[in-house]
Amino acid sequence: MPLQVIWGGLIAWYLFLAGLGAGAYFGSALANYLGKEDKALTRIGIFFGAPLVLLASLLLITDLGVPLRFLGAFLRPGSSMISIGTFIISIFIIVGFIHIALLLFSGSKLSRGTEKALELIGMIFAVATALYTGVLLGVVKAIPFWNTPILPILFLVSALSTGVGLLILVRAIYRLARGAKDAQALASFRVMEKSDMVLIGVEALALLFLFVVMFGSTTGAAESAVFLLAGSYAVVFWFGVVVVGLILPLALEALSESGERTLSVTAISGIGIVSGICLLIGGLLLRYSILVAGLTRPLT
Amino acid sequence: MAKYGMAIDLKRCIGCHACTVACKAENALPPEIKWTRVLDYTTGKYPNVSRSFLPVMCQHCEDGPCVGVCPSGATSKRADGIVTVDYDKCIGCRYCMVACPYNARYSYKETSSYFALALTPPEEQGYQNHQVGTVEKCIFCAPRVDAGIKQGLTPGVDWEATPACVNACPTGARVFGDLDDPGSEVSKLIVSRHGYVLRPEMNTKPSVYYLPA
Repeated sequence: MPLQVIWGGLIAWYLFLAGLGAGAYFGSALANYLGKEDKALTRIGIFFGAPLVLLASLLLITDLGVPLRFLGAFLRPGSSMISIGTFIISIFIIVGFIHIALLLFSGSKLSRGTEKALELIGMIFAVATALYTGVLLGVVKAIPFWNTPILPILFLVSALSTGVGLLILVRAIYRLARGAKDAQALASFRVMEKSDMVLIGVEALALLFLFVVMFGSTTGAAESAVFLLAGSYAVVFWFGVVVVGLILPLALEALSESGERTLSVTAISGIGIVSGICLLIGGLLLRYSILVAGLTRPLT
Repeated sequence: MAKYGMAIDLKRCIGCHACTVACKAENALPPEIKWTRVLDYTTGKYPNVSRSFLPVMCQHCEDGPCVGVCPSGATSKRADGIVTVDYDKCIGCRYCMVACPYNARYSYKETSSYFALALTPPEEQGYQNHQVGTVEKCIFCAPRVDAGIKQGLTPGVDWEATPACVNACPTGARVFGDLDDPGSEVSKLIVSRHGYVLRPEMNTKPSVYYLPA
């Protein structure tokens, strides 16, 4: 089977980073909204979120045939998913950077009400951004493997999972740098790992559901599904997406949870760094796999 | 207002690719870009094998997904049914290429020559109408059709008002004309030969019909 080559690696990075930034923002904003005390946990995602989505947008602009005309992407929000998404992502980036600026410059003067309102708007646009990366592909009727509402769900859950992965990774590095003075680390690891284990479970179910639906389809999507599971990219899918992206982080998080009393916080941080990196690699390869497998039906 | 369309007679197509070459000459297309191409495929199992040809280009759909997905409005449908791309507006996101069920769109990546050293004078002249990074496709030779109409000629009947691929076809497999006029040759052929469209399940309502072999 030939590969889908119209949208290549840069688009995979774009879909991944936009989801990652949105997911990380969502994780931290929700933690703060729910009153978690750990400043590191509630800030990491805010400081990484909008800049990552901005980086994703810059990659997308680089991928354009005529990058200097990127403003043209805004012109048809009534019909083009790209225009709708460009607005969503722009609003998220603006809200995210306002959030960063307020945290940096108004410090303790920032009222709890303002902060909560900002977080709520930010979380809504974070979810919209992550969903959009899936809807962008999901609305393409010509490519049966993409043309399903499961895809936005899958990308949203993956965005949240990679986002939490980034929080775990950065939180773990911070813990190792701070050493024993960092008393809140353990509680935060518990929260992040528990949420991520749920997310990985939901993501695995969404992925399974996607393949079941695609195998049952008569529109040509089954060929894409077979290609991913048994074709020349099967290694990327099985090893990269399933083992590195789902099974390994789930196992590491379970290990860390079960070793709560026996493992040192340093060991838990080390495990966090590895599982965080695994989640990021898996998230990128998931986007890449779905992209390359997206083919139109042959005309003959 | 006319609505231009084409009928392609698969009984007549001999897979000579004259349409592809005429199109490339008319529109000055660089290597790797074919606005119209001829798919060549075999069906059946030995000894009952048959070889068939399917010329494919932009189907100038009534409801082409390319028009809707275009974020900048570069792709649009003219009142006469011809789907065109405004190269000055195209940002090169290639969403239309992804969305087209017929794979009829191409990204004009670079100005490259068919010959080793430099652009030939015809290439240099012709490539000025293209823009690097934009997406392009068959436009039913719109400039040619427009110029012909201006001279009072009839598209599909007069050579100067008819797409180059139609003029070049040695077997007369391609017929161009006004689909809104029941008396035009193209309309009559579609009715009498039971013309069908590609990918009807996509509901794109193409203006290109195929006459069964």
